Amino acid sequence: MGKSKKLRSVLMAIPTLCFAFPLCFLFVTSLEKKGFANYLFVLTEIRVERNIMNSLIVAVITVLIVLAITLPASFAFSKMKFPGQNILFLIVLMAMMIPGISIAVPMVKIIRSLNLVNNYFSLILPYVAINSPIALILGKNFMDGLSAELMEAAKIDGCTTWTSFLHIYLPLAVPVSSIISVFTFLNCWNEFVYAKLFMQKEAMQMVSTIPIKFQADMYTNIPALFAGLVIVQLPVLILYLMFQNTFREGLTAGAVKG
Amino acid sequence: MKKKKSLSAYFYILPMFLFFAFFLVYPLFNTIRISFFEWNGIDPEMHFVGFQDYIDMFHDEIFYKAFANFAIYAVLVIVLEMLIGFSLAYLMRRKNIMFNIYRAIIFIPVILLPVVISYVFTDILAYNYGIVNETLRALHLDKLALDWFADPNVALYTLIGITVWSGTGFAMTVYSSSLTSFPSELIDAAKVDGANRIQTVTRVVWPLLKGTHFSLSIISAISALKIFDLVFLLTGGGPFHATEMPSTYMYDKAFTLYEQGFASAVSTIIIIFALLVTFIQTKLSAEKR
Repeated sequence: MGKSKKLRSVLMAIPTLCFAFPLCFLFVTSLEKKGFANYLFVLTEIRVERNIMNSLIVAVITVLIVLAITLPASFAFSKMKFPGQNILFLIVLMAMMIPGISIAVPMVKIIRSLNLVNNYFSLILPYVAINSPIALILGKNFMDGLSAELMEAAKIDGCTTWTSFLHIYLPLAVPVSSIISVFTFLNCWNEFVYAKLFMQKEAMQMVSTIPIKFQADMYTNIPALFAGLVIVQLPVLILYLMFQNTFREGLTAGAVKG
Repeated sequence: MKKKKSLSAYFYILPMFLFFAFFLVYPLFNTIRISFFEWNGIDPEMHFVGFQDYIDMFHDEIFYKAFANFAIYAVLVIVLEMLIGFSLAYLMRRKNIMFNIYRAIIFIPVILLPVVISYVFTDILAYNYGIVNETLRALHLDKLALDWFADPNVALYTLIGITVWSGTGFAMTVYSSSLTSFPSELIDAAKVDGANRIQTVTRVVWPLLKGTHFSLSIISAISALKIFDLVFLLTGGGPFHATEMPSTYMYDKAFTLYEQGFASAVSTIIIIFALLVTFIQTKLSAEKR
């Protein structure tokens, strides 16, 4: 058994290397010709840290708002009864199917009329709307798993529905909150279409779009270009390596059923 | 426990539904509305044209090409991701530290930025200087050194390959989770009945994961419908519409040609299509249980 285990370990390294190759290639190429000087060049010439900061601000604020509005809603859908409950939930489910790009045309109109172009909220507001449906579904499923008797016991002790939500269910919702945070953060960080459409000023651009100047400058200097790509990819990559389980659970949460 | 019907619940759901209404529902209805007009996106005036946009669209052969490409793309991506993902998950189902490391690595492409993926692959698969073609030529396999992005017959499959690379980690992780809760007595029972390894997998394990197959295929189908970033960055829909997808087609019409009425018609069709696909898949999965 020990021998076959070792054999398997070695064999499975082959597909793993196939998957890892492009990323390794990225790192190795970024060090070509001038080594780490490439990174210094990118950092001083192109102010990538601005992009990172912008994406970070948008992503964090979006996550906070999503949590703030979907956790109470999850609670309500799970533990409270109100007219239209099922229909509203069905509408939310259907909203998940809508590709962001298919509502891009009116979205541009709305953002322009609200004068939000080149403003962080031009992205935050749509991102919140787009990420809320799945956050709600995950939140509700989680809350369904929490016993309703907790609330009954709290009410006997004099709590209202709201305070029992705040002091009992909310603290218990930490696992699902971290899952919601992870995929919302990732969706915001990686989102491309709206970031391209709404953030046109160079200083405001997101990590996912990388200024055109950047591409044009680096076109012949591939190692430097790759160094820039490594820099913008690094934050999420490091977060992933640190919080692997949360990442993988969070992103596949919707699919692991049946 | 009895739940009183209360209206205070509306306060809990109001903030979320406000966002929902303004930034999802309202744009959605507007997309449908704009599809009946002719508009360049800049003029304050729109020109009502009824179904003309739709008629023009159904006469545009690129529209059909985009959906045909999409069909090939979606089917191949979903099938390949599920098969490869399952195989990897199954082969690494036993407890093993190396397997944990491998799985962690295989998942990484799922979280990468589209920009990063596109630049890396554009370089790796460059016809003249890309490492793939250079290696093939060094091995005297010149005929295999294809023009991965510029050959209309190859481009779509290059795109499919890259998508599978970036998405298989997801399928694998889902199957891994399902397999850990898989009753091993069934595998043992099958072995006792004389099944060899392959039969055990195909006749016992795979069929029992039906629930996972369906959720995964629905999620993959929805992701496939949303595909835009990679296509746009890698090929822009070219060469000669070989990789045109409904989403790039719509984007071109909306933001390159400024025919936003037409683009909205395309969007409406995409949305209807998305709802149909999901509806059918959910029906199928509900029936088969």
